[in-house]
Amino acid sequence: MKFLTVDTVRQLAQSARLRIALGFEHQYEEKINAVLDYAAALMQAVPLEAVKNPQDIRPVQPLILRSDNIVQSDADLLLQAAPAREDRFFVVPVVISQ
Amino acid sequence: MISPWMTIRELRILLEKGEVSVEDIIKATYQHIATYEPSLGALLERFDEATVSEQSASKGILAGIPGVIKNNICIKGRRMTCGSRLLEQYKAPYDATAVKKLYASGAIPVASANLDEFAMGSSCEYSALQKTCNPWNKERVPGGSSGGSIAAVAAGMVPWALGSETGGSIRLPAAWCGVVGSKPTYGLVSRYGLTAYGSSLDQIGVATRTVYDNALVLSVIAGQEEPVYDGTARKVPADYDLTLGLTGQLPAGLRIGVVENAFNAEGVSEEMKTALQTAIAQYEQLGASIRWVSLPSMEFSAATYFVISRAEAASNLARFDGVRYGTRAVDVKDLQELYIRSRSEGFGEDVQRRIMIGNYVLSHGHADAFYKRACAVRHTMREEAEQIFGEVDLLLMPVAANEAFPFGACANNPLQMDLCDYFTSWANLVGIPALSVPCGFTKNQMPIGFQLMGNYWQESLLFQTAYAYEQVNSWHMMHPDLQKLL
Repeated sequence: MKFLTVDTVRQLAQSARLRIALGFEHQYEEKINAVLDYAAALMQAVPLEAVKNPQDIRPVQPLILRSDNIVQSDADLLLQAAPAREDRFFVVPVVISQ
Repeated sequence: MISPWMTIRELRILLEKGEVSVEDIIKATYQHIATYEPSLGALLERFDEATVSEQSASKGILAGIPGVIKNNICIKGRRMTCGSRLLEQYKAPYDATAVKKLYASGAIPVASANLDEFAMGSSCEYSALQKTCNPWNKERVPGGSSGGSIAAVAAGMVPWALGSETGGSIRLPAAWCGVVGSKPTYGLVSRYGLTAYGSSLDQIGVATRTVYDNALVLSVIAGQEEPVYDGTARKVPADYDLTLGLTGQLPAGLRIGVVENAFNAEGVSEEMKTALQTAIAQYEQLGASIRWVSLPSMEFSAATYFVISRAEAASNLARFDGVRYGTRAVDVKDLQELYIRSRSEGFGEDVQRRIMIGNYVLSHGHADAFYKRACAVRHTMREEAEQIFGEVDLLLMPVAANEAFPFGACANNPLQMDLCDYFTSWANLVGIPALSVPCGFTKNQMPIGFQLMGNYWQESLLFQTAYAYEQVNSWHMMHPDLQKLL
């Protein structure tokens, strides 16, 4: 079964903030369709009426919650990893010009 | 005299007797790495020998024992590339919980290890940074995604390594390189400091050459830390020690279920079946009761895994946008172009495909058909596991259908590569512990392994059972001829 066309591959790439080089869309289409086609076996495994909302499925174990306290973080340490920074800020291209 | 094939247990005895010093061990380790690493390609960053020796003062249980850490686990101040161009220069600002626990035990990480990009792959060929060979045959892949960690252990560079699993990324390379690989119960080891791929599946585990060593290192890294940074991880007692039950005896009345529909699955080689049958017969001789069981839901585990892991990956990898960390595209005109070009230039093709599949299965109109269905199947798997562990204590089945494949064998068919998770991903989806154990060699002299899976938190039983098998076999004493690497 073919789930994607080249057009939907382009749309998917855009939604994922990716850009596929011209001429490679067909490769992506073919390879993604192969995975989705295999995963479609799930459709035989579970009838649609048996599908619950994922949040209704009980977790294996309850989460452990930490106490809700303010913890001092080292902003400077984290900013050191930024590809571009200025003082205490991440630098990005201008978003609003006027 | 220090041999590269010494286990942690043997090195500790030598240290206790004062026959070798920590400095001797570290020196021998660096010499061995210097000789073989250029051909093997297992390591991404070798830590400065003088710096690591300073850590050897601790008197903990792993004091002075060198190891390597998969490069998707944070070590403060060290590069954490995740095998990706996007994070090639990124330095971790903190230590993962597992790393802190290793330091506290006196262990000495000497290098970070190669991996498939963002732990996505089954051969280590998807690393954007370098190629890692299988120590048994340099024309073949080591398996993945923890290929560098496992190859380093199999090549005698270090006696332990940390890896991580999302769908089988420790057990598969462990089987293909002839070492022991553990995937603990989801929540036994904190994921704090492990780069997220599929958060409901990810778990840090251990590779070693023997079952005892594996149990020892896993005991060290197990458990939560205070304050709690990973809400899914458990606390363990201060004296948590998985080596205690390792007597060579099986527990009385142990019931092992051999998974019939895995044993007879399409593509499982005759050599694999013969090795499994021999192991089953040995377990019977050791006193286990063998039952053939069926796991119908296992046949959907790869499909379920494809959907859930990619959905979670799409969410987790959205953070890499060239702003807060990683490389960023240059000469961009606006923010949108910055995001798109940084991600497109930074991520490899397979990672991009997985993100796109994740977005598709989560999208309006397709989430019911794929993502929600996959969650429902996963729920069925857990119910099946609950039932089967009422009938047997452990499950036994292959890790992979065959031996490690030659480089490039899946280049035009990534689905074939993805299906390497066919036998392993069930344990990740259910969240139970599993252990890959070497069980023989193929006619091509490549190692193969079986896996044992147990109920939640049954690591002790898993190790006890694997250790009993190891004691009546010698697979763990066989080592690759490293001269052939050169």
